[in-house]
Amino acid sequence: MSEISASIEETNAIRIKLGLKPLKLGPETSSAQVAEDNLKRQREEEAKKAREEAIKNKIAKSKNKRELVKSLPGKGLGEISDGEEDVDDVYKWTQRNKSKEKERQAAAAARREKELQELDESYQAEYGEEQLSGLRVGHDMDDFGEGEERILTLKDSSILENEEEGDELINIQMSERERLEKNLENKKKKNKPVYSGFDDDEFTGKKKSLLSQYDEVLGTESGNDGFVLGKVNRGPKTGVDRSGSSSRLGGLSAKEIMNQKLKESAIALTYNKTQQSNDYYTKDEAEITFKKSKKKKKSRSRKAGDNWEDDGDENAMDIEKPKQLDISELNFVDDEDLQESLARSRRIATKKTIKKLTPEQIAKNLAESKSMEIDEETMEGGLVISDVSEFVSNLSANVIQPAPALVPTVAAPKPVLRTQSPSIDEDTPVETQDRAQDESRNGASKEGVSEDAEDADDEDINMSRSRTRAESEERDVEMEEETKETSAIDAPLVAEPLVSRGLGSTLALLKQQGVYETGSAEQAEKARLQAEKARLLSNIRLDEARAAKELAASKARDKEKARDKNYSSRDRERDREYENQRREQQLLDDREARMKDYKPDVNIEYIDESGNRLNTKEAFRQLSHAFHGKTSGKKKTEKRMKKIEDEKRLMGMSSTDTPLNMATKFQERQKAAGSAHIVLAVGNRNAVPSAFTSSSVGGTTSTISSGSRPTGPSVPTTHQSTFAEPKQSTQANLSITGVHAPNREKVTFGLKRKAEVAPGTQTEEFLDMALDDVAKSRSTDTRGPGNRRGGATRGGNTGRDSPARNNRSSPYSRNSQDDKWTHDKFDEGQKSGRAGGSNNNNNNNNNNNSRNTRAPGNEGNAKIIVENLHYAVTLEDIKVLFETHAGPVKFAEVKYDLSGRSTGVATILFKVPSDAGVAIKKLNGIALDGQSMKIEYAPAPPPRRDDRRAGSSRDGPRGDVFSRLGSSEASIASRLGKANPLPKQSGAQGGQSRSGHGSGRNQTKPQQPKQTRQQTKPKTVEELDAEMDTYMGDA
Amino acid sequence: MIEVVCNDRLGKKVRVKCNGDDTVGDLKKLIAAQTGTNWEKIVLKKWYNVFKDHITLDDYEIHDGMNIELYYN
Repeated sequence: MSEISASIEETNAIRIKLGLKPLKLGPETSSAQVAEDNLKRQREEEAKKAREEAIKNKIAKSKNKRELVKSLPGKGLGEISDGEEDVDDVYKWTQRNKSKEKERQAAAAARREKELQELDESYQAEYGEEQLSGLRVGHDMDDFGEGEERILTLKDSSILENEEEGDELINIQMSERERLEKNLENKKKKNKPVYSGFDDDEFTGKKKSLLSQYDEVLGTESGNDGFVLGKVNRGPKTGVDRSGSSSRLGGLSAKEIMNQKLKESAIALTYNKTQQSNDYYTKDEAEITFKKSKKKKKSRSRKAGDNWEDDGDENAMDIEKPKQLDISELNFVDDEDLQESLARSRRIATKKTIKKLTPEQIAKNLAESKSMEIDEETMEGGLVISDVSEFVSNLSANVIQPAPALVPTVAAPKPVLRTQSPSIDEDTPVETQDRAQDESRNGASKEGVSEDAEDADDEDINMSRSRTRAESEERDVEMEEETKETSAIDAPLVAEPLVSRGLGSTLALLKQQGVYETGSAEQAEKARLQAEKARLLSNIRLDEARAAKELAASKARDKEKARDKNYSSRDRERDREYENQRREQQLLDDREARMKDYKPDVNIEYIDESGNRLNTKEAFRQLSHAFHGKTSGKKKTEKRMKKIEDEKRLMGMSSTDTPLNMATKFQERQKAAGSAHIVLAVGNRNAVPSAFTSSSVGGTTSTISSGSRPTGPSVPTTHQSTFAEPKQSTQANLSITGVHAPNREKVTFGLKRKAEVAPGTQTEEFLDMALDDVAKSRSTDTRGPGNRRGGATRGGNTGRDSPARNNRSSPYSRNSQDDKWTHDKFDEGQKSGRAGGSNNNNNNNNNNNSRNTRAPGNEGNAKIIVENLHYAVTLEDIKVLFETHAGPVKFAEVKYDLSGRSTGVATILFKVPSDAGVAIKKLNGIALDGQSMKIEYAPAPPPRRDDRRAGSSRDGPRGDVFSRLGSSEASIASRLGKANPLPKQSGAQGGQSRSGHGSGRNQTKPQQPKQTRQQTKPKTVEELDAEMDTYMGDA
Repeated sequence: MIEVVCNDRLGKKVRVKCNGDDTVGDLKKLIAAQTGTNWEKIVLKKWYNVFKDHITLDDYEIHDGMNIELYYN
């Protein structure tokens, strides 16, 4: 790459073309170089100068030296040593030096002597008598005797003491003598009293030291007397002067001097006491003007701004200024005395002006006030139709309207009536009259209390009503006598009093028709209170109206006063204010006094947003929630809502029905069915007929005997014994479906109770039992089921026939709560003795068996339970009773409750089991201490485990269930007249065989009176009803 | 007189003779005269300093033999 470059000439050519100056040729001389050059030059110059200076100095030095050498005479040390020969001789040197010293001293002494001499001469020449002139001598001229010579010395004092007076000359002896004299004098003084009364500080002007009379004059204390040297002729003169003045002062006593002084500063304290304070200045006072400097305003404003800044201005202010400020700041209102006196003077002034009123003026005033009144009256006049009046008139019209229809004899309107309504009744006129009165009253009070005219109207009407009521009550008494008379004449048709006869009769009519009723005592009391309140209010209003009138009058008076010319606006303002204040105070007092009896009837009700009435607690809660901005939690709210709901439901519930409206439902059902009765057991019993048929009943009866035979000869008896009670109960129980109306309710009760007692699977059993048995089994049922499993294991498939099967909800469900826990897949008992078939419902069967057989099975028990004992019966009584009537008692027990009172239940265990039966037989139902005992067998104790193991079934009476059921079934069937469905054969059979087998083992001795087999046959409806009646009668 | 070398590193390198008290604008004109470009298109830089037209070379301390970068607008 080649550089483009131009030569100097080319560049210059270009530069010329561009209008630039040509290139600077030659070496570049920069400013720095110039500076350097300059510096160099400067330095050179300086160096040159310095050199010149040095040379000059040298020359000057040498010149000096030369001059010095020239001025010094003799020889120098060096020169001497050079020139003399006895240089080394110390003796000579010292000699020489000594002589030199002597010479010098002599010269100095001579000079000094000469000087002193000169000084002496000059002094001696000057000092004379003139020199002493002006000096003070501290003694009296008289003290110096004629021709006596005394030596005076300067008085002993500090330098500063007598600065202005100059020095003082004294003679010591003379001053000593003076002091002695003074002390003597002081000693004489000491006997005199110290206090003269006139030598106090305030008079003498200087403070005395404490107990000054004891002070001794210590030094030479010359008095003021003395003289000055050189002024000889003047000294005595002053002395004379002094003595003269002192003697003059001494001539006047100190007392007089005091008097003079006091007179000079006296002030007159007298003033005109009779002068009355006035709002205005008197002529004399008015003439006193305050000088107002023009500067004042300016200075004041400036003062307000920067008070502390300009002291100069403050000084320049007028002296009178503070005075003026005082006057302006005086608070007249605060000064009560002044205020009072001013008011007095004003009153006098107004009196004068009132006197001045001309008759014309008075007339005019009267006319004015009259016209005002007329205005008011015109305002009040005429018919006033307000909301309230309309409402009231409507009310009365509505109420009364039927009356004329009933009473055809409408009386001619009375002349007194002022109503506009054509339907004439005496009620309205009274009201209208009252209203008119009220309005006029209101009109009077309208000026002051127009704002409460509305509610006042309301109250007035109330009052008038109550008043009319009160009046009418009086009249009623009269009227009643009349009506009595009339009623005696025509009893059936109650005579109606004629409206035309007057207000009383009208009221009587109204009363008769129930439009108007005389209240109870409570209402009367209420009315009385209301009337009282109304009266109070009206009184208050009247008072207020009066007050308002007075106010207006006083205002008018004020206006009158205002017209007076002498009454300045300021005064008027002040007076008015004062007056207003007073008036207000009075008003308040009056009101307070009036309201003293006022007892407002306050009843606060709280209602929430949904319209429910709240009690105070709830209201407070609501308020609190609103205040804090938070409400109760969800749960609490729900709870409360539920409570409210419940309350509502309770309120809405019929008093003649259950909460679920059972009675109505029954009635509806009866209506729908068209029958006089209801079958209540439908829901629970609809399965029963299918399970048991009449044929099965027959079957059972037969099979029981047959099935039981193989096991043992005692079996039939067992059966019968087990039958005995249940059978009767079934009959009773099944006959209950209400045929007889009076019994119906009882029946429902019984059923209901049963339902309570035996819910679920037990229901069916209970249906077949008497109430007593139900109760009994209930008490025994608490014992764990599955007692007698042994039997069950034998007949695994018997359960198929059991009625309990129908109730089985699911094959896997546990049988009952109090069942003993068993392994549902592995059952020991079943394993050992299972015959085959399904054993799912073994437990079920067992339960049923045990339950059904328990009561009958107990009969072999030696233990009995006695119930319904009197609480006073003791254990001893029981023991004695049963031992005497039945047999030896092994163990007896009476149950007590927690408080130690007998529950009325006793358990007795006999030594011999047969005694139990005897006891029941003999003593059951017999009254002991007024209460009939109820004796039963105690429920059998639970079986032992080994029993079950053995597989022996204790609960033989299996078949009896079926026999019982069968019998009941038969009775139901016969009663209902229904064809029984087919029985399940196998179940029935299995049941019988099993029961027969089991019962064989269960060897008990039945003590109960045996029932014959014939009783198992179906009963007729009549029989059943009869039984029911007897049962009910017993119960 | 000083001599300044201006190189645009694209193939033009100019050696310009000028005075120290010439402005940058004058220098640009001289360069333009020698290279044949419009002087107003020329930008002179030293690193990131763009020399302004109205300031003299002395003030920018441009001395004899310095290299100046040459750019074009």
